[in-house]
Amino acid sequence: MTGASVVGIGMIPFGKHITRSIVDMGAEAVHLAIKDAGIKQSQIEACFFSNGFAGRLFGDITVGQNVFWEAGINRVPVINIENACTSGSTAIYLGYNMVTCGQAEVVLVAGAEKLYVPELGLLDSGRTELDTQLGMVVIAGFAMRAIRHMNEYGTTPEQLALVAVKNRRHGQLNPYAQFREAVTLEQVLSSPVIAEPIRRLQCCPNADGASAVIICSDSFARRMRKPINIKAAVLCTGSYDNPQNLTHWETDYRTCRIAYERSGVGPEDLNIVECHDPFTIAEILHYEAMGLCKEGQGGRLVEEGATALGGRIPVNVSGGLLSRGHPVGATGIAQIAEIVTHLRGEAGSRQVPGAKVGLAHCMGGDKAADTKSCTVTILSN
Amino acid sequence: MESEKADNISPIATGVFTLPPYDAAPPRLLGGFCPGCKRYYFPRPSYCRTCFHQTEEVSLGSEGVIYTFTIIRRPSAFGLPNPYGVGYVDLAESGLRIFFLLDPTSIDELRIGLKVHLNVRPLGHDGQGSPRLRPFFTPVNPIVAFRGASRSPITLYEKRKNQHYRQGLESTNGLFQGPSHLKPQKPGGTAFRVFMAMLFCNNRVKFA
Repeated sequence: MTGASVVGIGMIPFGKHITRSIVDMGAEAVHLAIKDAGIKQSQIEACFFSNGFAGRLFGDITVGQNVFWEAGINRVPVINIENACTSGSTAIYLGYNMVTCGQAEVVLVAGAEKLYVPELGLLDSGRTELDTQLGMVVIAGFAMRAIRHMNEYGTTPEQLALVAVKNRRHGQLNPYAQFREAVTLEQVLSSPVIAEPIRRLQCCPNADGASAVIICSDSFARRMRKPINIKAAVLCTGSYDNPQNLTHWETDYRTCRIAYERSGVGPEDLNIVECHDPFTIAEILHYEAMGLCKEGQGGRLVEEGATALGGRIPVNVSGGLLSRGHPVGATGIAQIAEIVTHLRGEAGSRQVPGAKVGLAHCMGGDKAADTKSCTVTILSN
Repeated sequence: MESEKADNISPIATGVFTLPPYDAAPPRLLGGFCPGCKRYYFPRPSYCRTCFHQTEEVSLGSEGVIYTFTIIRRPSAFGLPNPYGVGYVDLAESGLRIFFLLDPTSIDELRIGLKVHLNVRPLGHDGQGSPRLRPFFTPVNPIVAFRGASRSPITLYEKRKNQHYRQGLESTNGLFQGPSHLKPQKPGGTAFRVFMAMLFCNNRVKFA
């Protein structure tokens, strides 16, 4: 089995791209990734495309073929992927597996999403689901964990808000982020409640956007500029055991543990983390699952400043979903692109100095008090 | 056609709760039971996920305790009142912890550990505008609260009912809006807040 590396990244700024289509945005990200890698389209042997909502919002399906042909790529296998918020990181997982098992030398992974549409409302995971019919929306799963976490560990509304303050501060430094202005603790705590105890400024904005990466085998990577090695790419699905402990996601812990085992690195080795922060509580729970602190101590970790740029282990230096926005299909790939940028030492004013090992974490969907999917990718230079 | 109004309205799902009329027995939740390995499920799968034995439909009773909850303050795609509550409820009989809708007229009372029981009535629609019969959990013992300066105890339940009839399912605009430990604390002094906290929150959430 060969290893795999990321040798090209491409991304368009996330935000409102009202006049642009998914195909248009996706193709631009693909162009940028191919140019960044310095390869030709004809060297790509397989393509993965991730998108969460085009089928539901526009009735568009198998969009990947359209995106890749727009970028001049045809004939090779194209696989379309939907896995909620982990759509992009699931595509990375599949591309990584295809390369490491020797089926292809070079694969392209791209994701694009368009969520700025009128009347989108709160997202749910499917109108036919019983939970959805009973009032479940995505934010509720996070809000209910927040209330339980506050109850069991004394996590405070201020600690939740500090995650947004930190990530928005980081977002100021990221030209790809949608929100480039900092917010104060008072602003966060006085924004309207969306689902108790989560307020508007503790929710990630919707976004339009696209991102792409090129993954290749070790032997191919040797000819490339600054390859960043993928040490592990793990995808797990919920256990759905009943009852579940809602102060965390068991699947979150399980995925991180497997990724650490496979990569041979531990939380103490990490220099930078990008994690799934659609709502502030999520980042606090992920700190605990990733082993950055003990269970229940996530709120204190952000309060101490350990996860801010310049702290012990910077988390979401890109600004996270909270600043960047969450174009679902593009998010998981954008996280990888961010880690690669830091491990190459090319992150400019937001660079984590001397970053050697990075972790990208994503989580998607809600089912039976558990998550539907969780991904962890560990990279090193 | 049935005579009762609720009977003319389709339930959001079949096989999830007992249907009206409830003259003989109060509404109960329905789930699955595996006779092979004695596991309970909600909702009922056709086959046990552990031993693949065919499951049987069973009553999961109507009683439970709130394990956690939230109050959603955005419009619902299914015409639920704004705000409305949802939570995870630990069912008394089966031990299952299930996601469920909570009584939208009781959001003032929601807290971890609250005893609730099942209720069913027309609530919201199917996403296309057709009304639907929805099950939800409602507090078993409506709490007693004091009305501001007069200190005369009234039950929120009565207040709620009156308001409900007067204003429809609009925001309850009364003693509390949302659980007292979560809302921005403006009215009342510290003593008032501590008193409310003791009354409603036997948990460890910190107060602002």
